[in-house]
Amino acid sequence: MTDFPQTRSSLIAQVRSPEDREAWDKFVVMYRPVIYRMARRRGMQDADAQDLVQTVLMRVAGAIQSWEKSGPETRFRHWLRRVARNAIATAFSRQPKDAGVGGSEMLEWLGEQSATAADIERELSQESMREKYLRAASVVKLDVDSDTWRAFELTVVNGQPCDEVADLLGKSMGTVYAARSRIMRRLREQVQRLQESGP
Amino acid sequence: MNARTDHCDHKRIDVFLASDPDDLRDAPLVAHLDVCSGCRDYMELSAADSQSWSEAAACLLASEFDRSSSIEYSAASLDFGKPDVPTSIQNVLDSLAPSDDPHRLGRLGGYEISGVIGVGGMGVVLKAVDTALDRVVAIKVMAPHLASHATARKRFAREAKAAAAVLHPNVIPIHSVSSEDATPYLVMGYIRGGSLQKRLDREGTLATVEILRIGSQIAAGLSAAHEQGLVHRDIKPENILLEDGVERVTLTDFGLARAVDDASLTQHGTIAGTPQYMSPEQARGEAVDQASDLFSLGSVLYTLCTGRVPFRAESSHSVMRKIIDESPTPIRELNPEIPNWLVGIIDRLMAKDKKDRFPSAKELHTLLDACLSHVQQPTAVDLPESLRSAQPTKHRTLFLATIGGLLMTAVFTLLLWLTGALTFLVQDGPAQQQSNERAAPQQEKVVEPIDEGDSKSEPLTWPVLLGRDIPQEHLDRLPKEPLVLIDGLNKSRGSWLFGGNMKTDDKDSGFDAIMEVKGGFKTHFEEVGRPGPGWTFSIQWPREKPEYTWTIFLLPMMEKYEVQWRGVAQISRVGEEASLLDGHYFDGHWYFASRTLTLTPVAVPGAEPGTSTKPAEKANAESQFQITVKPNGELEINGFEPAETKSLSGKSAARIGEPYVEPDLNRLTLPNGYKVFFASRLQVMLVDSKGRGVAGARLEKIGCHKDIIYGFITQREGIDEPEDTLGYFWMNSATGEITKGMELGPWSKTLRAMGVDDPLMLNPEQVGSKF
Repeated sequence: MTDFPQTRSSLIAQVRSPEDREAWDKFVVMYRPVIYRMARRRGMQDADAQDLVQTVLMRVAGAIQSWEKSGPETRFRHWLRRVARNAIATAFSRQPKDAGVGGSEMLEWLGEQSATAADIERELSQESMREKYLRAASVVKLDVDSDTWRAFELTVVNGQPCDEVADLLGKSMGTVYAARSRIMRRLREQVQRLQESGP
Repeated sequence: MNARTDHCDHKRIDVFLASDPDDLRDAPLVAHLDVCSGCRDYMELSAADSQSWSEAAACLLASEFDRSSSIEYSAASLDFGKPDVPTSIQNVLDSLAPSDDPHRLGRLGGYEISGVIGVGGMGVVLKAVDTALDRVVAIKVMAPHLASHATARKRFAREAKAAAAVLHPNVIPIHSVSSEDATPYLVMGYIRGGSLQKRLDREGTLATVEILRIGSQIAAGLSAAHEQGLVHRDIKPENILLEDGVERVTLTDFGLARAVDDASLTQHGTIAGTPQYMSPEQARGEAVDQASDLFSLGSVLYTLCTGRVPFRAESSHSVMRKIIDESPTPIRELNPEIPNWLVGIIDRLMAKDKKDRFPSAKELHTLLDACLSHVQQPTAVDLPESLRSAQPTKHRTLFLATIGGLLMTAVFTLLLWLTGALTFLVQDGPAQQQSNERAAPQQEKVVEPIDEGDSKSEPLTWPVLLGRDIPQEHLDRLPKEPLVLIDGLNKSRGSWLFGGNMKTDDKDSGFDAIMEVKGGFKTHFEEVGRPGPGWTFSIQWPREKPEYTWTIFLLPMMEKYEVQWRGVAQISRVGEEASLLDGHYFDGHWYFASRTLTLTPVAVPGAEPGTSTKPAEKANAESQFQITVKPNGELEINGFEPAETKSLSGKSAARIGEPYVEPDLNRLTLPNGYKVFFASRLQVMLVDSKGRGVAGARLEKIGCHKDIIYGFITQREGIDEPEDTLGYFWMNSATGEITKGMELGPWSKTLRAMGVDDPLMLNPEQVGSKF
């Protein structure tokens, strides 16, 4: 059962260089949850959000050919990111099909539209960062004792005071401080690694 | 080794920091950290800068959608290769016994697994063959990570029990259950087809007869479940299956269903059900009974009628708030074709107070069934007695009143714009700003005043436009959009704005032409041969120094039961008296099927005998042009050629029927007097103080900061699909000079060398006015 039936999209199969294929795979893994969360935050249902993810990815995949033609001046993963960001921004700034250009909303629209576009960009960047942290956390978490992780999680993520957490876990203050700093350091390393290798 | 070290040794901290987080062998240092806040601070900053700390906190804080995120289980992503194989599916597949048949994925009990159908909250649905009975089945396998969870197992078993108890053609049949195995699974009937949601996505709204057929069958299935004392709790289009080739509707996914008397299932803050289709009592987190399913069914029917869910909002929470507090937009405002009595049924199902809904699904089923018979054979079967009062005496009058009410609310205008490589909305520059008032009377003169009393109360209809009665069945087949278009113009004020890309002697002169389009609906034309109502618009071009006036008339004509538009276009020089008897003429027909009016140069039409008819000898055949009205109200003009040496082409869009609000230009005036205009939802244009376009960008990403404007630069040359590149325009705020701008792509390296990680995410503040 190692070979799960995969139908790699024929488009993707056209990415010839193995290095670029790897970039594509990494890209998909990283961006899928990001787009999904953005869609969910906009009130989309699970299935709709998944569809949107597919639409964006298919769009990006569809553009790959044009990249291959354009030659190797741009690095694939940078190109990929740019196209993806465009596709995502387009997908989310597109209004529902039954809405025209809102007349009475014209003013609002004039004022807000640029902000909205910038918001999407910011949100995308935040979500990408989040995804990197989440991935990093899942790696680091596996490597350490659950109490060590908890010390980090409770004090840093949940913002609980260190002394409370030390009491709760039955550890010394020094242990809690040590745990959270060391985990933070590892997280940073992981996130950095993802940033360097990732899409 | 001392129990505590009193001196602060930063080097030691660095070593400690880099070692295994669980390694506490340097106990003295740990003890020192108990008391020394200086060393703690040093350690924390040494681990990561303060921004990273807060970033980590913010990023790792669980968000609303992390828990519900099923994306990692998404079966839909299988096309994207190995890294995406959902772990949940892979885990389920890994747990299967190997099959003897190499074409199968594995074996589970007596079933040969042949594929993956989908993924639910509880597990994976597999397609399988029951080898003993040689039939295809669907097997819902509980996700292995849940199988170790007692509550989840219980819930899974409950679903199986609930669903198995209901035997009805409209409820998914349960063949067998295995809840004792390591991986519990449920064997169900396999329905070849898709969900109602898929059909909604594909077709939008459904016809009344289809809505009744589907509604009646869901009500029947629901009735069977309710009789078993079950509440489905998650009625939604995804859970309704439509079998291919058979008109059968099957209710599925009893994953949330539970017995009404199951006391162990009180809420503990978890939301079960899809927010969009929840009942108000569900949204409030109260106990629910069968009436809740009726509300959800009402919401499903609403969606089938209108193509959209009744309650929409940014977040699940807001959706639930709306379900509790608000009424959805009346169905007939969104789809006037839905009969009143059906609206009445849906309204009753969606009553906030469950006492006001139908007493049972069974009763609803009987009613919908009777309605279906009526719709299928209107002459033989009457509408059920209880609904007849809701039937309007004059169906059409009511229809008109509804639309009229909608239109009455606003004054309309039409915006025309080009969406070429350069796109802009023409507006007066600052010098002309003050002359707006002066311009206004001129605009009003052009827009033909219409009888407001009439037009406000009633929209334009085909019979009015054509001046004759049309049998209802033909009326139904006539397209609505030209009417809406004309009606919008009918009620319009002001001028339309139309931007164009001009070519001189076939050379693209870049951004250039600005035209002003004015016009409106006239109830009576004499000029073009056939007196009657019609639509006209005129374009003066170029705007700054008008040379030409175009006048286009559109006259609807009824040929048998097909509407044609006769189009007459005229070009004359500005300053010359515009009369149909001189200038260039075009004539053509507009068949609504194509919605394109092709105008060909012709001799002067309708010239009176004796008048010297000037043949269109100057106009060559190539100056034919097309006007296309799209179903969504977009207007496209192609092949516009006002002179031999200049041409104008592009895609325009007309938005009709929306209240016109003068844009607040001052908000977007740049320091040098340049203005940013929004040419459409997606396009933005920078115009200089003379109203001349300077630069354009896609709107997804545009902004300005001091002397930088940033946005997407759209690349169109040599590629099929326009590609956007993020870039910046620089502008000298003293002189207003714009440097051509910069595409960020090639500069990424430079930026990176400057320590900017992510050039695409740059804020203008970070860039500064120059590198």
